[in-house]
Amino acid sequence: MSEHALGLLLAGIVAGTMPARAQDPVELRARVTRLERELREAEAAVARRDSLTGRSRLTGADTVTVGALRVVVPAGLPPSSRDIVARVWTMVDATFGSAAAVLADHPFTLVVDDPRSETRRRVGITNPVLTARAPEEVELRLIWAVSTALNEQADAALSAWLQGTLVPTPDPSRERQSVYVNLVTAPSPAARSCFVGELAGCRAVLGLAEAPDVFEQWYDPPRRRRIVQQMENLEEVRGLPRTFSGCVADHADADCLAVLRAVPPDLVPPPLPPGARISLARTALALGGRGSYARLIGTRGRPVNVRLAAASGVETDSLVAAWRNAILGARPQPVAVEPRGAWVALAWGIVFGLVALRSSRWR
Amino acid sequence: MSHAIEVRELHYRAGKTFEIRDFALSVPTGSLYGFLGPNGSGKTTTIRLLLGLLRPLGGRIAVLGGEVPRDIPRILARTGYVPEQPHLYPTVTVAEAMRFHAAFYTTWDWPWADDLTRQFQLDRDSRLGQLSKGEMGKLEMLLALAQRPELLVLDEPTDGLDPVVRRDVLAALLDYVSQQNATVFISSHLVHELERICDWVGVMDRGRLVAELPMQSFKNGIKRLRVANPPALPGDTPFVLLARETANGALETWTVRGWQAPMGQYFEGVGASLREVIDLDLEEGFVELLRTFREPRS
Amino acid sequence: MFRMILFTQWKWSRLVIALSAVAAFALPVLSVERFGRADVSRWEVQEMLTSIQAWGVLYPVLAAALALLVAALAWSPDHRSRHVYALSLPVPRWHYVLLRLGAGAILLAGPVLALWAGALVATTAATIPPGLHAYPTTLALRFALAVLVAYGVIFAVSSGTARTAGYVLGALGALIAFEVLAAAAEVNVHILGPVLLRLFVWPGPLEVFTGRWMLIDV
Repeated sequence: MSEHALGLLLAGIVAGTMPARAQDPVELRARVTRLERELREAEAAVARRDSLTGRSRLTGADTVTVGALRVVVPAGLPPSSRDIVARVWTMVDATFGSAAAVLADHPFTLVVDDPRSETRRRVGITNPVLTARAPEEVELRLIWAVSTALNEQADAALSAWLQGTLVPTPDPSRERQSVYVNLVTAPSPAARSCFVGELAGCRAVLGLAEAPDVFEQWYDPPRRRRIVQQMENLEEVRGLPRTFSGCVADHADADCLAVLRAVPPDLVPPPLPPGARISLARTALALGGRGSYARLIGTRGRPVNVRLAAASGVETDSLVAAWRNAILGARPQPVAVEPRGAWVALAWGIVFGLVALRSSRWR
Repeated sequence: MSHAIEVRELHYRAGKTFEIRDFALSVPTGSLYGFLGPNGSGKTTTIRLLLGLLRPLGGRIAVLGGEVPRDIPRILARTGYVPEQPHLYPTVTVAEAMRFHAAFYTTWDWPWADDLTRQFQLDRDSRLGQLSKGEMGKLEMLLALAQRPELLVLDEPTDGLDPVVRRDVLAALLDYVSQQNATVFISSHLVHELERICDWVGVMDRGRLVAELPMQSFKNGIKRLRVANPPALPGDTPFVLLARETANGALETWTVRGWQAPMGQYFEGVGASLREVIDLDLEEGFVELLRTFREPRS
Repeated sequence: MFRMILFTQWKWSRLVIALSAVAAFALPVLSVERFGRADVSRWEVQEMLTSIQAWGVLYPVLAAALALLVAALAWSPDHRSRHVYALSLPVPRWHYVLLRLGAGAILLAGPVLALWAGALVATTAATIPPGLHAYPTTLALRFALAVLVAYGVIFAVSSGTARTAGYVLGALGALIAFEVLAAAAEVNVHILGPVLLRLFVWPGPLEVFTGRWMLIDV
């Protein structure tokens, strides 16, 4: 595929994201997923074609290798690039363990995203990592690129469950804080029961439940009806006018459930955002040690809960309990007037009071 | 003689047009000092300077033995002040105004304050904003008197009041002075009012003190003389010649200050003759004084 | 002496204090009122927090308005009489200012306590889902600090001369005018932003006004 063709494809993507019939989140989410997939495929095709034709190679580049991670660093990037690659490798190794060895076959090339630079053109570069010059930006982009490559080893079932990319982070507590807030505020009975300690609820919200229909556990009837309402423009739903109407107009919960079962499962928004499942996977990998990610991706074809148990080396319930404990332990700072802030406010009050006391009697 | 108020070389400027410069004033302790001057002469400004409400550019002000502004709280604790304009809080009642004022003065005399309230026929429950000008004037005087001050500084206290209220206010003032031997510094442009009650008088005009002397000297000292065959140049006179006007032909009218009967000999010495000595009342003397101050004899 | 100063200040600002106390009591109560109702799903926690956060905007507004009015009313009768009475009272100026400052601060305690009471009532009456916590005392404390700082600022400006107030307002006006002119001339110079940053970011005096004012949160 030529650059021209890629441009046309991107234009098509942009046009495709223009508001058409509806703006509801479910449909938009489906569209975004489809377009992302198409973009990835297009980029891979461009890379394959350009590498075959041998176009464009970076000049003055240096290759940095740390562990299995090999990165081509062009001239002009910060001299600390070696440290950055080392840090990235440490994090990747800690998360993906032995599975990260495959990186040895996938060298990455840093490409400075500079409009004035020729290297901005990614033509002919394998695994390009577009980045700015700032070291923290380089590190972030590289870790994302490496993680995406490793996540691609996962099969479709695992990817569909994960709903996002597992990226190593030096500070998982922020992610857990966010999950804590989601767990507390999710409009879901399952999330609430998970929060109060019922592991069945946790399994349900994390998509590990073996029950045939999770929608009943996830949401109460009014919320199910609201979700169905938002699916009005989905093709699958347009084919069920009577059921849709029964759900939305007549408030028949059985119809709502029927609609939810009829649409592809990934179009029904789960109670918790992807961060929750990613944090569970992170917990499993932490419990399972270096070989855990390899076990996770190596048990394809089995249910996700079994795969997670295999990865972590503990029973699913123990894993979920460990995850729940970690999430509850990450409760964000409660609303409080920090003593420091209180003293400063008090001090300012006194300062202004003293300024007033100096008010002159001369008018 | 000790002085309740003593001012030396006072300098103050307000804007570009008004200035008090080289101002000196001495108010004897126990006196009733009338501070005369036309509107805009600087009386109120001077009073505010005396009480530390305005900052002078230079000079020295001593009130009740204390320096202004250094000792101003101590001075104000012993001074009753009635300003020219009502200054009390209009939303409080008469009783509340009295309680508020009393809280600041250890010398406050509640029985007398109650007497004065009855005497001035003030309704304790009336809000100050609803009081008439006369009632407000009486309340201000009440507050100043009931704190039993050693010095009363009254800035046009009867200005705009009807004669009955004016009489009540002045009567209360004189009653207090007769009991306490307090010093009263009272400013007014109503000359007759001061003539009856004051024993000292200071005259101010255009930021200057024109004269300061005992009331008796002021009243007796300014005369109008009918002089026949006056000399072209008066030479060295034993009195202060304020003005000289030709009446008809060889007869002239002289306005003089510091006149005493034996001074008639002066006219014989210069070949003139004194035909008549005419007494002036305070107001005429005041007017003559201001006129000669504003248009000095060349 | 202080009692009488407090009394006069109460007389001048009692309407403001009373209305503010009512508002301060009502705000937290109203912010959770709909969450006790049967027609609201008990799972709509996110909505609850969003609503409480939206109501929370009103707390700093109330604090600023209350402080502004009480500080201004503490001085307005003296301003109207050009401070003649105040200055003729036998107390040093700083003492008089301190009396007025203290009286205002005590009066401000009324609305603060009302807010605390309202917050306690609201959080007791509301059904708080598991995982959420009520912060009535923290909210009241924060309100008190915001009121105190704003009162201090406005009291200090009001206690000065008209010239002082003019300088302060003039400086603010000049800053805004400069910003507008610079924007019109397309000059990339910003003064107002950094100044506001200094004021509103720790340890700036108005930092207490910023952030989320949550009666109920995780």
